[in-house]
Amino acid sequence: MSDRDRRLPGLHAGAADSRTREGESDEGGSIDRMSHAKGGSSPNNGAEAMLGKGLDIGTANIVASVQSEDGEITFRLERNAFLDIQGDVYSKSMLTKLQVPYVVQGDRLVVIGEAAFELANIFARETRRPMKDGLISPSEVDALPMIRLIIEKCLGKPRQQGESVFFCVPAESVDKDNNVVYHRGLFEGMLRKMTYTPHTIVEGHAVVFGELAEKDFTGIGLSFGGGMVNVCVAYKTIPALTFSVARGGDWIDKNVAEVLGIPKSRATMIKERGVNLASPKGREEEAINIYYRNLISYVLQNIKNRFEADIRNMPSFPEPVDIVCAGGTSMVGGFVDVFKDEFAKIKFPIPVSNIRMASEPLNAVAKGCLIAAAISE
Amino acid sequence: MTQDKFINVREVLQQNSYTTTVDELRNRGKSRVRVINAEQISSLIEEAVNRVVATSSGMGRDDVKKLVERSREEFKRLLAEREKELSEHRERVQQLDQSRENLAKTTAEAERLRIVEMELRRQNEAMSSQLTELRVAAKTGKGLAEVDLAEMERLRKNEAAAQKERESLQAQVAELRRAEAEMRRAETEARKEKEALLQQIKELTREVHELAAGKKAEPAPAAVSPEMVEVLRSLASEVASVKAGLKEVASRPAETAGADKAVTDRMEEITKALTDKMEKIGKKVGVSAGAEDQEVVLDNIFAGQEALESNIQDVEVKERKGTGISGAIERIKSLRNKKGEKKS
Repeated sequence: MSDRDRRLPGLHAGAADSRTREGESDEGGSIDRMSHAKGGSSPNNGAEAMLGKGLDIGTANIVASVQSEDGEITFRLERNAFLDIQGDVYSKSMLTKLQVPYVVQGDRLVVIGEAAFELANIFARETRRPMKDGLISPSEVDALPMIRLIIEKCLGKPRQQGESVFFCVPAESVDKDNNVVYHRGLFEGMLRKMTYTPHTIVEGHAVVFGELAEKDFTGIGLSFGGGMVNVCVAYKTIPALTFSVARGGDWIDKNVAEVLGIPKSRATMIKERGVNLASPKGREEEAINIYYRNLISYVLQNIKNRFEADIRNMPSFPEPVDIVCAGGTSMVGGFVDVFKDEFAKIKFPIPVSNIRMASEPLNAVAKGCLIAAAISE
Repeated sequence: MTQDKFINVREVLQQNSYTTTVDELRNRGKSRVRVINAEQISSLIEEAVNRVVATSSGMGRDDVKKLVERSREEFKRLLAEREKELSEHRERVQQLDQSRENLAKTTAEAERLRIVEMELRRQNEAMSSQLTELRVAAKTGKGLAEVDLAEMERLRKNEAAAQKERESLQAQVAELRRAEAEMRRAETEARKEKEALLQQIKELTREVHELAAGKKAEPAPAAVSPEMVEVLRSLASEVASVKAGLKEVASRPAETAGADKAVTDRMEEITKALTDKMEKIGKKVGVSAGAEDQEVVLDNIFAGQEALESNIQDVEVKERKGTGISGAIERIKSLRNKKGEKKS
C-alpha cells in the first residue's frame, strides 16, 4: 500500500462549512475557522476545542495534527518536496484545472507536495527537497517559501492568537554534526510569523507520547523518517536516552538507486508501491531488503552502544519494555519481521517484551506532538 | 649351366638379330650365307671370356672357378642383403600405410571436431545475441542481467569500503573509550565534591529551617576538603546574616506572612550564592553545570518575504482521522499526580 493509498481525501482548511466560533478574535484574519467547530452539538456538551496543535516537520512528509472539540483528531499530510517546471500560460492553466498546487517563482512554476513527486516520476526527474537528513537543507535556499506554504496549508491558521504548536526536532545525531539550533530557530520564527506560539519536542520522545501510553510512557520509541532515525528510551515519560542517526528512507533510496542505476525518485516509488521485506521479489526488492536490514541493524547497534556507554545514568527497567516503530520508512511490508531478525542478532542491553509497529506509523510523531501540546495547555 | 652364365648369349643373339627370308637376302644381292648355331656362339663367347680372364689376370682355370664361385657367393650375399632390404622396405611401406591410414582417421576426426566446433561457435553466437538482447532489455527496464553484475560489483566495492570504515571506526571507538574512562574518573571525583557540597547545603538548609522554627541548632561539623574552606567561610557569613534576619523577623510576630516571605527570599539568595560557589568550584575541578541554550530568534528571515502567487489555498490537502488522545493525557496526569504524592 502506498502513502497515497493510506491517505484519505478530505477537506482543506477554509472549507465552505467553516465558521467563526463565538468569542474568537478575527483580528487581521489570522484566526482559523475550524471545520470541526460545531457549536453546541458537540458530544462533550459544548466544551471548547482543545487548543494546541502538533506538527511533524519531516524530511519526507509534513504532518499536522489537531483535536476538535468532540475529541476527534485530524491529521493533515503533505509531501515535503517540490519540482520546478517551465512557466507558461498553458502549464499554469492546466495545473489550476487539475488542482495541482503550484507557486509562481520568476518565470518558473514550482509544483509542491505529492504532485511534485508524481510529476518527477513521470518525467524521470528528481524532486527538490527543502530538508535533508532531518534538517533544513543548506543546498535549497529557495525552499523556505515552499516549506512555509506546505506548513501553512497543513497547520491552518491558529484558532486563537498565540495558540501553541509543538513541533518535533531531531535529537543530537551520532554520525553527523547536525545544526539543530538553526533548524529550530527557523521554524520557531516561521510559526511565530503565523501567530502561533512554537514549542519543540524531540522526535523520538513524541513517538513515546503518541504510542506508549498503555505502558505508562515507558519503552523505546523509534521514528524511521525520510532523513534520519530518531531514538528515545523513556521511563515514565522522562527521556533517558535520545539520539538520532543520519540515515533513513532517503539513504535507502539513494543506495538502491545507485546499485540499480535508476533515479532516486523511482527507487522511492518502488519502495512505496508495496514491497514486502519478508519475501523480496526480484533484484529491486532484494536491494531494498539489504539496505533496510543494514539500517535497522545500524540503529539497534547504536542504541546498544549509547546505552552501554552511559549505563550508570540509564534507568534500570523493572519489567521488559516495548519497542515501537513509527515513521513512513517503517511502513514497508514485513518491517517488524526484519526488525525482529536483526534484533535477535545482537545482545540488547534492555529487556524487551514486544516489538511492534505504531498504530498510526505516519502520524505517530504528530500525535505525540499534539499530546505534548495538550498537556502543556 | 647356361642359367649360371652371366650373359645369356643365345638370348642376346636373339635380341640383336632378326629373321629374314632367302628371297630378301637374294634381293639384297646375297646369294650365299654362312650359318652358325646359337649354342656354338654362346659356347665360343664363354670360352673366349675365360681365356681373356685367364690371360689378363694370370689366373689359372681353377682360380677362375674359385673366382666364379666367390662371385656367386658374393652374389648370393648381395642378393640376401637386397632381399633383406627389400623386406625392410616392405615393412616400412607397411608402416607407412598404417600411418597413412591413421592419418586418414585423424583427419576424419579433425574434420568431425571442426564441424562440432562450428556448431558450438554458432550456438555461442546465438547465446551472445540472446545476452545482448537481455542487456538491452535490462536497460529498458524489462530485465536486470547487466544490473546484476553492476550491483555485485557495487556491493563488493561497498564491502571493501565498509571494512575500511569499520577499522577506522574501531580505532575511533577505542580512542573514545579511553577518553570516556578519563572522563569517568574526573566525573567520579567531581561527583564526590558535589555530594560533599550537597551535604553542606542540606545541613545549612536544616539549620535555616530550625532557625525559622525558633529552635537553637548547633552548627554541623563541616567535613570539607581544603578547597572548600574559603567557600564555607563565605557560607558561614551568609548563614549568620540569615540568622540575624530571622531574629529580626521573629521579633515581629504580627507580620508572620511577611516573615515567611523574608525566609523564602533569604533561602533563594542562599541557594543562588551556593550555586555560584558550586559553579566556581566545579570550574576548578573541570566540571560545569553547562551553559543554558540561548534562544535563537530567526523571525527576521521571514520579515521581508512577500506573498507568492500560488493556488495552494484552492487545493485540498490529504486528511485523515485518528484515534483520540484523551486516554494518553489522562494517563500522563495520573503519573504526574503519583509523583506529586510521593514528593509530598
